[in-house]
Amino acid sequence: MATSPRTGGASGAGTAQRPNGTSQNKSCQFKLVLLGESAVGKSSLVLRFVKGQFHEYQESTIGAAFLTQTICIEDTVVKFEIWDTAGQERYHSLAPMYYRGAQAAIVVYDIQNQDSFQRAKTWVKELHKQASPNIVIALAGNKADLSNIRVVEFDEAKQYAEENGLLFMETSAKTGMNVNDIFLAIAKKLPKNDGANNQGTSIRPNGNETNRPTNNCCK
Amino acid sequence: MELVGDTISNGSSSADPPVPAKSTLNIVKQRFKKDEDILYIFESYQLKGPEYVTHLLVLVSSESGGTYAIVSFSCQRTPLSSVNELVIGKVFAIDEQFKLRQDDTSSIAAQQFDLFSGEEGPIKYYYYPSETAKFEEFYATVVNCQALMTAIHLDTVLNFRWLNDYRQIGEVKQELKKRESEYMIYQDTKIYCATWNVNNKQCLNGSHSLRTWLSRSEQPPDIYAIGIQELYVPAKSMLSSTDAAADAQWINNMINSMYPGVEYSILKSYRMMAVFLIVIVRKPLKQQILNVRCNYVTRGIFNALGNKGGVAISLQLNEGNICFVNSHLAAHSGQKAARNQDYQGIVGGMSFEDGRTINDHDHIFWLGDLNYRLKEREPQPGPLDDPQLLLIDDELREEMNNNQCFIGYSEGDIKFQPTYKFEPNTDNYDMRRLPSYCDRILWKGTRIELLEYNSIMEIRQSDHKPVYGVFHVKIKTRDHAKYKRVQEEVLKAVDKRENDNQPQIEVDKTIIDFGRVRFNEPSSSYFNVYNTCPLQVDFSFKEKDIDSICEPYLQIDPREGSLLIDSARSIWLKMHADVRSISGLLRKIRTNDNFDILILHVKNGRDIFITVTGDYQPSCFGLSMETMCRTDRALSDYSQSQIKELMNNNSPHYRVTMPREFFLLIDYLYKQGALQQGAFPSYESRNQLKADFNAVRDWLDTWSQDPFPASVETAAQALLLLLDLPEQALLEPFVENLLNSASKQEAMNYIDLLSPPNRNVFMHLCMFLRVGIESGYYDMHQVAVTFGRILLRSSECSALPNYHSKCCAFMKMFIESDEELMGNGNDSGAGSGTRSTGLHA
Repeated sequence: MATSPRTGGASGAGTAQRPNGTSQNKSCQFKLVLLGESAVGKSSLVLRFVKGQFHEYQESTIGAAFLTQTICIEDTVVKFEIWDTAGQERYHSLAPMYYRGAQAAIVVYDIQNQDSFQRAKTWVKELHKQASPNIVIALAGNKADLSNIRVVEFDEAKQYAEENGLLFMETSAKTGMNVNDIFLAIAKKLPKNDGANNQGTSIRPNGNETNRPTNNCCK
Repeated sequence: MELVGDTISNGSSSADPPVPAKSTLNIVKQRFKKDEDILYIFESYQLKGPEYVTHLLVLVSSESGGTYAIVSFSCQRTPLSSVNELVIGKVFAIDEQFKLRQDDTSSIAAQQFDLFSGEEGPIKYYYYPSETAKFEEFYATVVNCQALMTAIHLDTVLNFRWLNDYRQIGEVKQELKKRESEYMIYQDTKIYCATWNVNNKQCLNGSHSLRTWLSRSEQPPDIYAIGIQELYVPAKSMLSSTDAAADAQWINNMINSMYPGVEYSILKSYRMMAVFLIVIVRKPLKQQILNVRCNYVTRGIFNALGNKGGVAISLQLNEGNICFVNSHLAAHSGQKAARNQDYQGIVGGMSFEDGRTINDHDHIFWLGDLNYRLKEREPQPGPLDDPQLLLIDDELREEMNNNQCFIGYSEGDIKFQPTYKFEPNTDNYDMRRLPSYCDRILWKGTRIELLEYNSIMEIRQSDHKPVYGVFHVKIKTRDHAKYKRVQEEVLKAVDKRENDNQPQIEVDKTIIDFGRVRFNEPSSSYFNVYNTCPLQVDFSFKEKDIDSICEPYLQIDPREGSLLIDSARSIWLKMHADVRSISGLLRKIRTNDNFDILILHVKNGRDIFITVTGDYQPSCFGLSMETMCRTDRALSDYSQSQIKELMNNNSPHYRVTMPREFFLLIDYLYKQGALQQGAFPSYESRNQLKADFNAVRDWLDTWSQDPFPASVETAAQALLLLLDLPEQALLEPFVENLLNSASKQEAMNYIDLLSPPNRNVFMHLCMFLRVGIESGYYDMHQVAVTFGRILLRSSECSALPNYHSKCCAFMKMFIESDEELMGNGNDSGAGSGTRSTGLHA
């Protein structure tokens, strides 16, 4: 007895660990994927949200970048596992690997580019058809700092979002406008029960799920 | 402590500037808590593929847990320069299951050993020959620690909860714990402890009968912990140790005897035989309390009867863990050793649902009839109203001073008379027993202040007097605003670290261009990956579909691997459009501009897309008869995009009745006469390509005027492949109908529905085979088996019973001599008669 570290005495008890599960300490983990045409600012939005930075010349994403960001809303800690995907059309067939199993998606378009808005609509359609049915989708009209040369009207996009049950904001990765807000809005909308917590733990999509052939998913 | 880790190796060779041995120790120390001692650090390594990865095995002891463990850290470089370089690998608790086994059986190196724990192992570690002496020292120290653990009481539950901090507990939690002082405040809490051996007396009637005992303090307490020993329990209830009815009257009386005007609520009551403990709290406090748990330890006869022993209730109030223990220890003078053992038995045997032991609490209150006596001595002890004098002979005080029991516990000044043994209903001692301080209240832990400690003389039912103690305890509590701020900071920092320290690799190209790709000609290409971050990086190619990381015509080597810091390696790709994969390649080309996109995944990091492209040189092999009938020039004159367009052309207009390439092969074979003998040896032989196969490929794809460049066998093989390689069997979409056709006539109805090129090819082929069979060049059965399976290839139908014999029977119908049937097949106008019929529609 005397030789074991047990002889420490009372002070040791102070380090006893507190158990988990105090009610104010709920935490959830969600997989979020960014989709949208090439060069609409997906990576810039993530960079602004995660690091508070903006690069005028953001390199084109060839692949899928993975970043995490945690925010607190009310008494819940929400950790986003963000997959920022490549927008180039040739990588389209790989997108299901990233939105499969995602609890949230931000579909991004550029308010100066009508095509990118149309492309966003097809992404939304594809998500509704093939992503998990409870996925929370937000539509982001990015580059809102350039609203004087916009071609996609705010009201038009807003109406589309309402009709399709999407969250909608115009954002600017450059100025930071609405960037945190859109993630926060998503976090608020996500179900934060235990089920969601468990679901959200799969960081990496794995190929075991049987899904349709990866090529040409979006018809 | 004799186990001092004197040798802290830093792993540097003698050539390096000497690094003070302390630095490694100091760095490693930062990973551990204040009450954890590092006894030894041993530098070992593990093999990961061809790489050596340094592992520091840290032998550490915990004061709060009273146990030892080895924590294994992998580190990128030695000597260490910062605590961030230590990555926790495995944690080995040194318990009964733990083993450190030297392994000299293996041939790799003599210097190796295995570690086992209940959950892990064996995990192999190696060490350098130069470390042999240190290993022996380490080994001896570990063995010593384990011996110490097994030497202490056999029934003691070893406490390894402190190790949870080193097992997958989130970084955030660890960080928050470290910064506790920034957000913790202390909540003043009054705790009222009371103990009474009631000598099996029933509870007195009357509503405030216990008020003199339970309402003594100036202010109403927040928490009551009341322990009773020798509770009267009817015999039948003795068996079920938790019969609530037996306790109900006591509980009612207690509640009624609390401070009037304050609302109390029972948190938990618990009884083991006659030992009863209840915790009652102010009602509003209840919502700040979590994890209320209880348990008991039986002592007494055979340590099992339960007439002696202890019960305990554990609870968490805000961030403070509190434990109340009520015990009735062995009785009688001269039994102090038995009492000490009972104490050890309870402290070692009591553990709660979550694995917590009594000592794992911030604040412990131990009350009860501990039964320690005054020492018998002559002359009789002094006057019974002079506690100070009497306590000189108190066994408990003496045993505590000698560390025989209640180590680390405190007790307040005793200013009351001995509480035992009285003649019931009087204040007179029963002098058949030496008056003693049997009933006590002790405490252990931090921030506890005793306010009152006394006995109640006015309560006279029992042969013991009740005792109470009032404490002022500062309970750790989170300040919500501060906590939130710290939490946000920690989360931000952890996110930043996670994102900044993400494993990163770079590739020198994301497009792999194979250039000219031809059927049946393998080619290779490669790209390089570089580790550009300060961590070892594991990479792998992600599966896109089930079990496939790439298209079947590609091979990747390696498919996964690791890169140490600053290292690079090449990843080789092999492209081979062979008989097994050509239809896949053509399918890909029909819908895409690239051959494949590979996903290079960095473990815990990003994915990089590698696009594989090339310029496929179209060939007749793998193309459908329809596509070939749309060509207006040799296939070698087509580009990949042109053939893509042609493959996607669905118009019913064809340039020729049957593909020129097919026609030329049949024509060549036919002209060989008897040389054709045995040219179609078996179905299986079609895929083993002859050496001169590519010459035939080029001859066909260029519409060459030259003499046929290869053997008859190769021509026969090319014919089989021409028919076999297209994605769809020649007789689709009617394979199932044809297999089930009862007669030639019925089958012919479906043949008529085939696309003109397929129908013409089929009829022409049958005629050619029939002539060959008639001439005795081919064995009818053999040919029927081979061509039947090719023309009727179907993954769905192959599961049908007798599929193979049905294919064969079908073919036989069409290659048997039957002039009449052939006559019926001539409507199409093509394929009729001989090869001299023009090809053009």
